Amino acid sequence: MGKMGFYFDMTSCIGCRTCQVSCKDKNDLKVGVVFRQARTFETGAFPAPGVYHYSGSCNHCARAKCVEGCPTAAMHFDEDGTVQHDKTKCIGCRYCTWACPYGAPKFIKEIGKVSKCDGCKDLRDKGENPVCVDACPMRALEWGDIEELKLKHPDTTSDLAILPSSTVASPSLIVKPKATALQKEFRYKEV
Amino acid sequence: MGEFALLIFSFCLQAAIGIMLFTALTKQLYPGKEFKAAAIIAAGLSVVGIIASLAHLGRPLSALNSLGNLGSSWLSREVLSAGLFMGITVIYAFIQYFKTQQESLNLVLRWAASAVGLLTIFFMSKLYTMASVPVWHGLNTFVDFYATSVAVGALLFMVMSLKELEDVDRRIYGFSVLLAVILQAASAVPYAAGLGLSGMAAQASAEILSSLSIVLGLKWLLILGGAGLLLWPSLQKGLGAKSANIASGWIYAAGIALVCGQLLGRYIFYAAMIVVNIGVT
Repeated sequence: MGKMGFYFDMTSCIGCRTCQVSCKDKNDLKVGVVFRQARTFETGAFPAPGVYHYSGSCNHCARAKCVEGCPTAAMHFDEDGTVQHDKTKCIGCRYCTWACPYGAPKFIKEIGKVSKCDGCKDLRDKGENPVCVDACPMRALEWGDIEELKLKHPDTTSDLAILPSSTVASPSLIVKPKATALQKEFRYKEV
Repeated sequence: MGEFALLIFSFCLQAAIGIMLFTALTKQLYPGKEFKAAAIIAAGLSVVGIIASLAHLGRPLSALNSLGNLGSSWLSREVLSAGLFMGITVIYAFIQYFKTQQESLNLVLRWAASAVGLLTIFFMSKLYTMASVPVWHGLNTFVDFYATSVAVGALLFMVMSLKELEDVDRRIYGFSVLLAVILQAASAVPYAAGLGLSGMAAQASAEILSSLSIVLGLKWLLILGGAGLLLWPSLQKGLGAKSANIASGWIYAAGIALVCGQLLGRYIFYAAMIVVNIGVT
């Protein structure tokens, strides 16, 4: 099995946040904690304004900074290359929340530990997709072997203006970008 | 500022390491002296630091799990070396009071604590520079941590050993403190100037630093003022009782100024933290 990851078709995404809500529901996350978040960005100004949405979660990076930096080895690579988190080892030091350039690990105060997207491992073990993939009404998300996804979707990138450089951690993420998402200037839009 | 526990941990550990380093150096120069108070303060600071680090954890009772990734985690390495430093320092302090005749063991413990301590500061600096927090990246973090250790360590050692250092050449402490803070300032200036030219997270940190400009100014006033204040009493030797009292007063004042300045600096270090993130590259 190759390394698994996400494909995100930004050109199809309408920013409905169904992925975010389904993830929050599946993982029973409290107010203020999300493992997948859809964000909206604006570019330019009249007469050439632009808008795009980005749905992001843990990118299960090949050189995951959280795995490298975690002092307890709670963050670790699974056999399928995904980054998994062993709650029994976690001591809630929060170093992973500083190390991850995508802000994926979240500290959950109630349990004194960190948690994050596991790519819906329980569903995948049953042969199903991560919940965000199946929930998306626009079919903008896809899960699979990242090398196969790259072959299937050749016009993709792992680098957008809103993301840290993919050289930092080699994310298992490919995005079919809108042209505006490659522009250097952008503004975060509260929705 | 939510990292108060880490502020206490990093500051206390660095101060304790500096004290042990100057204890080891001074004992080489003046073997007949004991410096018991400095040993106790170093041990106390290291214990306080380690306890503070536990308070930072969501699950402090599982703290030993943090030794589980020595192969790649700088935090894991820091925990190990900080724990070792505390252990050696506490044993050393204990021996000063209960087994004073063990000089060869004392010698080994003093230098072992200094070496492990310096390594701890390296691990500590490394773990901050490896995080996705641009304001912590670069050589400045290393210089800042080592300079804090040397400056605060030398000064606290001096304060704790005033009586024993009355008849010796104290210039080494005054000049060590001065050199450390000059290096600290020399590293901080070009670093701060370059911050605004980097990515968005670094620029956001630069804005926080700009909003804290009064605190930042006070920090440097206290640090450089404290180091300057220490020079005069460091240069004096064989003073009469009255002058010795005045010199001691200066040293205490310099100590308070420098410690407050370095604490403010550490507060700013954590307050300026902005993690690189989606939309904050």
